[in-house]
Amino acid sequence: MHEMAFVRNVVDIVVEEADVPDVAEVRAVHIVIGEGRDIVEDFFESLFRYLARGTVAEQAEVILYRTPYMVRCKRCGFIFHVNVFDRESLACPVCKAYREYKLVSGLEFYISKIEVAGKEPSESQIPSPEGQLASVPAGDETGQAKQEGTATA
Amino acid sequence: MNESRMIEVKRNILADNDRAADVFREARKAEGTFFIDVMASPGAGKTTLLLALIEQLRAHATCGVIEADLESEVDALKIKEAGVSSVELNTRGVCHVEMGMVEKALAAFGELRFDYLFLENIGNLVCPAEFDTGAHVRVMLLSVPEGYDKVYKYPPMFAVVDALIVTKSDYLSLNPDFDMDALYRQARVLNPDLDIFVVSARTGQGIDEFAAWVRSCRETAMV
Repeated sequence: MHEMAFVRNVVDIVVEEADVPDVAEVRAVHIVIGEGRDIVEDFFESLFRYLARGTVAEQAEVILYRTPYMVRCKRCGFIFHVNVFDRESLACPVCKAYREYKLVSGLEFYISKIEVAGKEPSESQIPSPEGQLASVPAGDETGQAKQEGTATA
Repeated sequence: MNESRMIEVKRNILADNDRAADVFREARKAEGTFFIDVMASPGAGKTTLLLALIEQLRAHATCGVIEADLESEVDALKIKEAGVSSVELNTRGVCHVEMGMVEKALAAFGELRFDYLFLENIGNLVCPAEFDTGAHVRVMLLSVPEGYDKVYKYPPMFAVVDALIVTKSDYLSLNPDFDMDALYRQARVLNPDLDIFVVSARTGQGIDEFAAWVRSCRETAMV
C-alpha cells in the first residue's frame, strides 16, 4: 500500500503544471505505468480523488496506460516484448538469440500529459485598453483567484 | 468553460526521490562508503545474513547497518550486540523506505562513517522495489522455506536487484520441492545478468563467495 506516496507526488506535479494563468481546471491526467510497477489502479484513482480535493485537479479523470515489458536483443538490437510466463517469448524473433537481452521498458512511471480547460475570456485575460503592460499583474492575480476559487468549490 | 487542451508534462512521478537518491549515492562514494540495500520478505534471514557477511568484511573494513522496521529495535540491538554500529529506522507502518528516511538514519550515526553501509529494508517483497534508496547495489533474499515459486509471484523485485541470495540452504534437504533450476531460470527472465548465490548463514555455505562479490562491487562502485 505505497500508492499514497506516489499519488501525493502526482497531485503536486499536476497542480504545478496547471499553474498557468488561463487554466481553469484539469480535466484529465494521463499517467504511464510499466507492467513491472506494482500499482493498484483502483487505489491510485481513489487516492487521487482524495488528495486532489480543493485543487485545480479535483474533478480530473485519471487515465492510466500500462506499458509492457520490452527487451533489447544483445545480439541484433531488436526490441521485443517478453511475457514472463511464456518461455517461447524469451527468444529474439529476428536472430533467435535466447534470453540474451536487456530490459529496456516496463518500469516506467511518469505523467505524460494533462488535459486542461481554459477560462472563459471574461474570467481570464481581459483585453484591456491599457495594453500589454497592464495584463502582466492582472495575469498573476487571475492565477491567485483561480486557486482560491477552486479551493472553496 | 472553454475547450480542453493538452499540456505535455513527461515528468517522472518519483523524480524527487530519484534525485535525492543520486545525490546520496554520490556523497557516499565521495566519502568512501559503499551502500547496499538488502530487501526480502519478513523472516527470510536478512539480519542473520548481514551478521555473517559483516563477520567476513570487518577484519579489513568498517561496517554500519540501518535497520528498517515498522516497529521495535529488535534487529538493531541484535546487530549492536555483535559489536557493529546500527541505527533503527522505524517507519511506523510505512511499507517501504524513502530517501528522507535514509538521510535521517545516516544523520543518526553522527560523525561515524563506514566502508560498508547496509540498509536492511522493510520485510516486504513488493513496495521496497519501487523506491531508490540511494544504494550502490540492491540485493534481495529468498529463503528456502519460502519456496522457489515466489519468483513467479513478485516479478518486479527480481527485476530490479543486482543479486539474488537464496538463504537457509541448510533447509534444502527438508524442502525437496524447492526447484532451484526453475528459480534460476525465472529470476533471469527480466534480469538476465542477475548474480545468484546460495547461502546458509548457519553452516557458512556460500558466505565467502557472497562476501567476495560484495567486495568486488565496492571496488567497481568506488572507481
